[in-house]
Amino acid sequence: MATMTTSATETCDVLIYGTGLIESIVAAALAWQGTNVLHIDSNPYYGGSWAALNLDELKAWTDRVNETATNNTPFSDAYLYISRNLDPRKYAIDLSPHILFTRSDLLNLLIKSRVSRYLEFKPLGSFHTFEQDSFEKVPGTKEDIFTSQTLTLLTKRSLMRFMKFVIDWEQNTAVWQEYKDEPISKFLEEKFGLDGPQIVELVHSIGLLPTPNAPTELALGRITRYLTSMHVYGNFPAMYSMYGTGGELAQGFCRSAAVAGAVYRLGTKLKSFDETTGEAELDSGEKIKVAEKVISSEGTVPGDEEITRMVAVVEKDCKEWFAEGESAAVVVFPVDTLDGNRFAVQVLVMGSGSGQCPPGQAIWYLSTQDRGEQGRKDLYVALEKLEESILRESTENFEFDVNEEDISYLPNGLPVISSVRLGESLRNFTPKESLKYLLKLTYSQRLTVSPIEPTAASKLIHSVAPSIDLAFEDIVDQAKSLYELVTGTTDDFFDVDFEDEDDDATATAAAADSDIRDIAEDNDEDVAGHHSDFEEVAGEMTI
Amino acid sequence: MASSRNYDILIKLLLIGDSGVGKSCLLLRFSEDSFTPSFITTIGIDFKIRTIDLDGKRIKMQIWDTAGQERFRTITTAYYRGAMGILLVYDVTDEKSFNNIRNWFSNVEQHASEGVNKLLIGNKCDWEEKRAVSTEQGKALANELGIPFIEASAKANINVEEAFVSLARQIKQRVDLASEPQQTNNIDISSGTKSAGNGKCC
Repeated sequence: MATMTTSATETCDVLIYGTGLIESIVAAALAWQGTNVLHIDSNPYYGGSWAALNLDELKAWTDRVNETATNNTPFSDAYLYISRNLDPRKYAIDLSPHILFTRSDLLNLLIKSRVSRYLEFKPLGSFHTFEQDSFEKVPGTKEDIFTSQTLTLLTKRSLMRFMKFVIDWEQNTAVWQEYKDEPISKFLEEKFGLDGPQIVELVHSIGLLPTPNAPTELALGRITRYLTSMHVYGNFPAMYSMYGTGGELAQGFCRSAAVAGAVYRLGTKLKSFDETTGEAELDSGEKIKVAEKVISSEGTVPGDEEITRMVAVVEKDCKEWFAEGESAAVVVFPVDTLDGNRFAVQVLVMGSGSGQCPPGQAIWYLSTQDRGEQGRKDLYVALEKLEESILRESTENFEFDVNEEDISYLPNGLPVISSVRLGESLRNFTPKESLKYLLKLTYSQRLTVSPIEPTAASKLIHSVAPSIDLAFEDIVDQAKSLYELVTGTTDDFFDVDFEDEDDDATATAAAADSDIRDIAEDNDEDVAGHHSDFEEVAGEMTI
Repeated sequence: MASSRNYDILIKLLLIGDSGVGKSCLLLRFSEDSFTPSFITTIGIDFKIRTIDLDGKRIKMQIWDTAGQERFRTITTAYYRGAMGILLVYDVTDEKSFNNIRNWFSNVEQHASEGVNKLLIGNKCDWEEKRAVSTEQGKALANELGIPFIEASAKANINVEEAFVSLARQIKQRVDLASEPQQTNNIDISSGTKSAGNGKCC
């Protein structure tokens, strides 16, 4: 291969070290803008801290984490158990699983950059809250609230009032301004008269926030993220890419960058970079003359956020937890539901339809913002609860004693078993079978940040590790700020006039624009009188 | 969302093989009937579309190029996913590219879905004076791998049409035999609906 022989000194405008999601977006944005990009990664795979690994890669990753962990590395304390006789290639274990809300800047970028064409997306509509030993489906829409059997009329009215407010909360500053930095729970209670379970659901399951003490301003944004994402594509607020979440998106952006001319090297380390001469040296000994900048995901320092994670592969399909036709669910254990947990435990359940594991199995991704021993303890208690729950829900001939007083009668005369009693019985239910774990992995993940605030003059810029929110958050903004440090502007960020290989693609992209606007208008009618918020979102689509 | 499709079957094909064997040239010859002699590493080609008629059916062929990621063996795993047919290309004037076919074949086995149709192509067959791999060697390798074989030239427009069409024909036969289309429940995010399952409700 003639092209394999590289000349003594290769050149590039920008060298990007690390193929995590943010770096990959920047690589594609720069490449399409005309920058000559060399994009390398020390791992033999794409995605860095965002990667989804097969079992062979996961074993090597665990060893590497434990050998090299320092305070500056994103991962530490990895413990891995893998049962024998698993086909390593049939699994994709996501190191930082993230879900994608259907109305988000990242999704807009995926469509605009056409990277979405490289990916397969699946819906995620099941969000459960763990309450009193059972999983409650979250009422995420007004219809859910109307039809709910468990909410009182008063609660329904309070919730509806809140839903109406929150849809354009940013305009209604008067309502929340004085609560800006106060706990969201206080705001919901005092301003909307909401209590206990409703606050828990809004904060933990809809907002995906770690505690009810989250500041009101941040929390309102997170709650709105879920609510405005309902019905964009169907009866679900979120989705995920198959075979891995952030890592697949990163690969998609890398392909896009390659189409625009970026050169890729994996399993290649950046040995050194001399900021004065602009010369970078790779571990192969090759010297690269870098005209502009190096963006590196290494050399970062710990930020103040940390997350404890557990991954369990179980021999159960877990379809009981999924909505019809879906293959994933989110289960949240709120604060104080697991032996005094101080932070919520969030669980992302991926069935085989996600392409991450074989049929008949599922992957449970558990995480908490509590650290060290306490974090791990919370995760293990949550794991037990999940195990109990799936065993009783998947046991078909499940019997329990029913007395006359457990039965009440509906107005039409049909007997029903009181749900309180049902809950009691479930609590005492001891499953006969046990759950088989095929894999268990625990580790800590730290959000790392740049050691110094980069300026436009910096030759070396550090990028940051994955966000610890369960949903992609701030990704596009972070990519844009890196892009701006290189180009001096974000005006031409993915301002690409794609050559049209496919008429259909153009047609459907146009259709998507109008579709989303339709939905926005529908919603507007719903909450009569409020316009600006949705037009803004729809406006972003048309760029 | 009801859209009028202008095809009966959509098939996704991939090109794979070493740098410089002429993958993009084959693609451009087939999709646009054009040829650029100068050597440029692939820039700007994501995929090309061509629709052909085959036994009364409109077959829309979406053919993907490597985007230059074959150069340092950094092809993304997503590239292989969903491929129904793969064209393994070597250069008959470059023995190394021929020897590398086995590596590319094992990559395909690793990452592509089972049952994907494959075709071995020896490109630049018009360049007899520089030939380093004989037709017999090509045939023998194809037999060993259990896949069909054809020699072609994008430059002289020899067998390019035949290569793509024969692969499309094999895929069509396989698809026709398969009982019913799979319900994938994927979301078509550029059209705003799911491809199967629940429609949108507002």
